[in-house]
This record gives sequence, structure tokens and C-alpha cells, in this order.
Amino acid sequence: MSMRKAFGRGFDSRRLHHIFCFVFLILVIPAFAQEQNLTVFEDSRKATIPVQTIEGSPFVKIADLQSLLGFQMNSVVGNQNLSITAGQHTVILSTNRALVSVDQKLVSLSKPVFLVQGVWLVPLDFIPRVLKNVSQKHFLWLESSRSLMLGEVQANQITLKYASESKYSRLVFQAVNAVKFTAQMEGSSLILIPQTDDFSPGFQNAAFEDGVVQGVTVETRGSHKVFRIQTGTEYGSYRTFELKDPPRYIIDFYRKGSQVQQPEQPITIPPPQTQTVPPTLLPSPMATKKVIVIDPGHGGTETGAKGPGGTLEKDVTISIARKLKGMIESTGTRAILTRDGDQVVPLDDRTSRANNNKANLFISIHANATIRGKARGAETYFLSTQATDDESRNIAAVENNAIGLDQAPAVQEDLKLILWDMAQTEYLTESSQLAEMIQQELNKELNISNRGIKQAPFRVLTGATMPAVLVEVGFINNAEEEKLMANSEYQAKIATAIFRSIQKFENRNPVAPKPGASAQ
Amino acid sequence: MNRPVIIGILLFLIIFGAILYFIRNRPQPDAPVLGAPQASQTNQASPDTRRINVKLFFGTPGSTSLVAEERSIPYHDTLHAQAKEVLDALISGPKGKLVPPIPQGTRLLDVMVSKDGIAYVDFSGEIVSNHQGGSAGEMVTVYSIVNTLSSNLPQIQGVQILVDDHSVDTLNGHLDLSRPLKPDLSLARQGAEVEPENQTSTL
Repeated sequence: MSMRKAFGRGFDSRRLHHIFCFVFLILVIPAFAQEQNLTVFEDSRKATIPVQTIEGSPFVKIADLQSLLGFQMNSVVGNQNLSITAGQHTVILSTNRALVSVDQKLVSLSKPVFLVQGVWLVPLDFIPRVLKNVSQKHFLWLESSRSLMLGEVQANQITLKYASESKYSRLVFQAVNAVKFTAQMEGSSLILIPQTDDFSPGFQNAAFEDGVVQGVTVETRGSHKVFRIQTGTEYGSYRTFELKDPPRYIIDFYRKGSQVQQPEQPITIPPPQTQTVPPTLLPSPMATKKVIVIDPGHGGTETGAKGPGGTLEKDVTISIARKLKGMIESTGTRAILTRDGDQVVPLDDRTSRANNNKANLFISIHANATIRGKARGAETYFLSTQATDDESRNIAAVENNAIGLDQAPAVQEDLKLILWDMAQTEYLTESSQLAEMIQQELNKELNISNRGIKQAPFRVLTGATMPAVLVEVGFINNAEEEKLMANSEYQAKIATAIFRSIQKFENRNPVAPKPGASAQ
Repeated sequence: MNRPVIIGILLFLIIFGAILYFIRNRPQPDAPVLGAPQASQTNQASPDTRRINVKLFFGTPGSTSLVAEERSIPYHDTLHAQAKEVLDALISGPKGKLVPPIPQGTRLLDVMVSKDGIAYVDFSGEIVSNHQGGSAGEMVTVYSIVNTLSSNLPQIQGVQILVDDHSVDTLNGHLDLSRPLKPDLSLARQGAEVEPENQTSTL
């Protein structure tokens, strides 16, 4: 009866509206369901924003995004519209509409915006289509993994570095893109005027206690920003010069009585030290049975590199690994392959296999490839990590010395490394020695010129709790070497070279089987 | 059914259809156009013809070393825009005899620099599917990106490579890409092609 009444004479637009609202809610409410959430990364923080499914499409609450992106929300015109203010940008949304006004231009969304019980819901593409253009922060929207990474929109930032020497104090104004400065004394202050407004100061004020320079403050003159450098009682004179790459403007404030020098090369940089193999090894007592894990690179659908004649890396590596296994086992040492067939094995599983079997050595076998050109020869790698990489440590040292700061910025980074990342660092000395021995033996056995040992952050070596190396036995993209590597005799030669270096390493570093290692 | 209902429904459908038609046929105010406000502010305010010189690191035939090639590219006010420009130049490849380090067909999807100086660089899947593999080849690809970004934009302390919107463990089973990488300057070839200035650029 009531249905009849509704469709009967009593028909009016209000009732129709109600019916549609009712039908809409019936359709929508069961469709609400939890989905893969949205993850937001900002620096080291991570936040999760729930995603709801409405009619099969993912939606998020605007309020959830608000706190992260820092915009203002105001309801307007009978609560059917929402205005968002972000800096100078204004966005206006209307409920049930897939059109959004962004700074008075229309943007279309894949789905309409909904207002459900006072909560504004927007389809996910609201983020890249609308928010991205009005956000005060720059962000990276990763659609398929539903991640939002927030960063700063940075203008040409000018940062300040300070160093105190006996005769002078040095201030370095470093910019991303070159900025011209003029400097003029005003009383006891030096005013440094950038010849552009297109920059942002990376600091507000800085104070020093060397008597020559007291501090630097950022001042606003009219609409321009200038730097005021307050000199101290011992200040005598100053000189300025510029450096490129990155652009730097340097002011040296000389102590009273100290001469202003005009050297040709204001800063000398010691060349980074070349890498040396660490000299000592950890002494390990007793020589007995050991476990060696051999990792034939790639496998299954992950074929690895491919030679011009069609030889696949995964086939070469398993053949060599099997030969090496045989040689090792002939001495009574246990050898384990991370894969014995042609299958995909995740990298971390390979490493875990070695760790779980308390292996004494981990040797990953690969075939190399260059992008273009014919390289030849073998390369042996051991792990470089950010914590242990000599090169970057040297560079960090040079950088810090040059400016007279002894607290390396990398230190904090290092502390962030998790345990897995630290696993191999303990064995780097031995790993480098094993790498060196393998490289020597390969060069000798295969009669190839030495390409040397190298360091790189290999995933498969990272978590290994034993000396671990990765051997690239030859370049498969070089037709000649491809042919050789497909040959069983040549593979045996490679295996022999690696086997010999293992023995050599054993003799130099007698190792006991680890507690818990099962003898077979 | 009686007429008012049918008329009502028909009327509704017509109006709804008209609205839909109107919406669909509007000049497409899609993302690229709307990306404009931000960009146009800087572009229109001062017709920006400023350029900067950058050093792009490319591979050398048959080796794992990287060599810098200088290039003049448009200047941008923001770090991410500048980083994008630098990477686009890197993807477009060398002008001389050097080897393009980025596999063919690879597109740069986006770049973001976090507050702590980590650049997240998102590439299309071709960086994996069109890569020829090998540790040497992977090192050239990865460090051409990392070294180019960090030596031209000193605010970038580390680079994490993403593929198709995802963080990945490796490209093809070698270098660990699950966290940001610092530049590896040992790959820069010692010798004539690298300008002596290059060493100071690490400062």
C-alpha cells in the first residue's frame, strides 16, 4: 500500500529524492569494506590511512589526509560543499559530484565525492589529481602500492657551514644553484645581500663563540632577505671568495693581527685514499670439517643475463656450482647448493640457507654482462655497505675536515641499519681476502687479465653471517667468453680455481665448524 | 503504472543524461592541465630561460666505470623539478661515444626528495625487463642514477630506486635497492675524461 502511495498521487520531487537517497544507501552501505590501506611515509615516520571501498572503488576520508598535508577544511553552503585551503590554493568539493574546483578550474575525478554522515570521502585519484597540485609538500604518489611519500618543496636553499681556525673563522654559504652575493660592512656587522629572492635560508640564526664572529641571522629588508653577520671583539678583517660545484660563497673573518692571505687555492682537498685490503684477519682456532654454501645465481624464470648465442647465465652458474660442490665434497667438507634445480629462489632465502646451515663460507656464482661493448675476464665482489664503505667514509672525512666539523652526518644514518644489514660487516675483512684469493686463482687458471676485486651493496651478501663473496666468472655478453663458459671443461677450470682459493683461504684462516653445524 | 511516475522517471533520466553529457564534453580539465597552476606560476611570472650545467654519468663500452658528460639543461626552482630534469637528460642518453646506462624504453614516473635528502626515483618496469643483467651492467645503471643525482644536487644524500610504484629488492638479482644508496665515486673512471673539478664536486 505504501509503495503504491509513494508512486501514486502523492508523487513529488521531495519524495523522489528520498527514494533515491534510500536506494543509494542500500547500494552503498554493504559496499563499504576494508581494502589495502594507504601508507604515508614522511622522513622516518610512517602512517596508515584506511581505505574504504564504495561501489568497488577505493575511497579515503579527507580528514585523514588533512593532518598529514596540513590544509584547512570548511563546510560551505548548507554543508553540501567543502572548501579546502592549502596555502594560496582553494579547492571546492560538492557532495555526489565527480568534479572538483581547484583554484577555479575544474578537475574531474574517477568517482564522485561522497558525504556520508558528516564524513567527506574522496576517490583515491583525488590525491594525484587534486592534492598534488595544491599541497605545500611535494609528494610522490605510488598508485599500485598505495603509498604516499611526502617531502619538502624546496626552493634554492642556502645552507651555512662554519669552521674556526686559529687565524680566521670561515663561513660557507652553500646554495643548490649559484647565488650572487654582495657584502658590505654596517657598523660591526657584515651584511650579505643575495642578488636574488629566489632562495630559502636553510637556517634562521646561528651563534658562534670564537670572538671573531658572533653569529649569523636572517633579516628581512623590505621584501628581501639578507644575512647579518655580527663580528666579535677580535675581528680584524675579512675576505670573500667563491667556489663552484656546489656553488659556495665563502667569507673568512680574520682575527686582529692576522694577515689577510690571498692564496690561489683557498681550500685544498686531500685526494680520497685508495682502498686497501684490511691487513689483519680474525684468528680462528682449530681446523676441522666445515660447511660451504654455493649459490648458483638466478634460476627458473629469472634467467639472468643472456649471451648473444643464447647461453643463459642460470645454466652456466648451476653447472659450475655442481662441479665445485663435487670438488669440495671430495675433501670431506660439506657443500650445499642454494638451488639444485632450475627454479626461482629468492635472494634472502639463499642467504638464510647459508646462515641456517651455519656455513663457514658463502660463494655466489654469476656470469657478468655489460650494457655495451666487449668486456672480458672475471670479477669478484664483496659487500660494501654504507656503514663500512671506505670510499664514502673517506669522502665524508674529507668533507668534514674541509669545513672543520668533526661530526659526520653519516653517523646517524649508520645507526639506522638493522641487524640483517649489519650481519656481513663483521666478516668484511675475511670476505675481501677470500675475494682476493678467488680473483687471483681465476686469473691464473683462466689466463685472463686481472679486473680486480670490487665492492658493491649486493643483496645476496648483505645478510650473510660468514665470509661471503660473489664471483662473476666471465662476461656472457661477450661471444667468445660465452662460448667458453658453455663448455664443460672451461666450467671445470673455473670450479677448480674457486676450489683452490677456498683451500688457500682455509690454510690461512683455519676455521672450526660453527656450533650447531651438522656434519653429514 | 500511472503517468506521473513514468514522466518523473523519464524527466529524471533526461536531466541526468544531460548533466552527464555536459560533464563529459567539457574541455578535459585533467591532471596535466591542472598541474599547470604550480608550474605556470614560475614559468609565466618570469619567462624562465635560465639554464644550468650538469654532469651526467654514462657508462663506458665494455667496462663498469662511469664517465661524466656535461650538459646544459633548464633551471628549476624546486628540487624535485630539477631532479626530474636531470634524470630526463640522463635517460635521453649520451651525445658522445658513451653508453646509455638506462635500459631502452624506461620512463621516469616521478621523483620525490624527502626532507632528509633522500631522492625516491620511480621508473617504469622497462628498467628491469629491458635490462641485460650482470653485476657490471647493474652497477652502471644504478650508479649512473645515484651518482648523477647526488653530484649535481648536493642536497640529495642518497637515492632509492623504485620500479612501477614499488620498492624493489634488486633490478635483476644483484644490487640491493631496498634502501637508499649513496654515490659510489670509485666507479668514476680515473683519467682524462673526468675533469679534476669532479673531485671537488663531492664537497
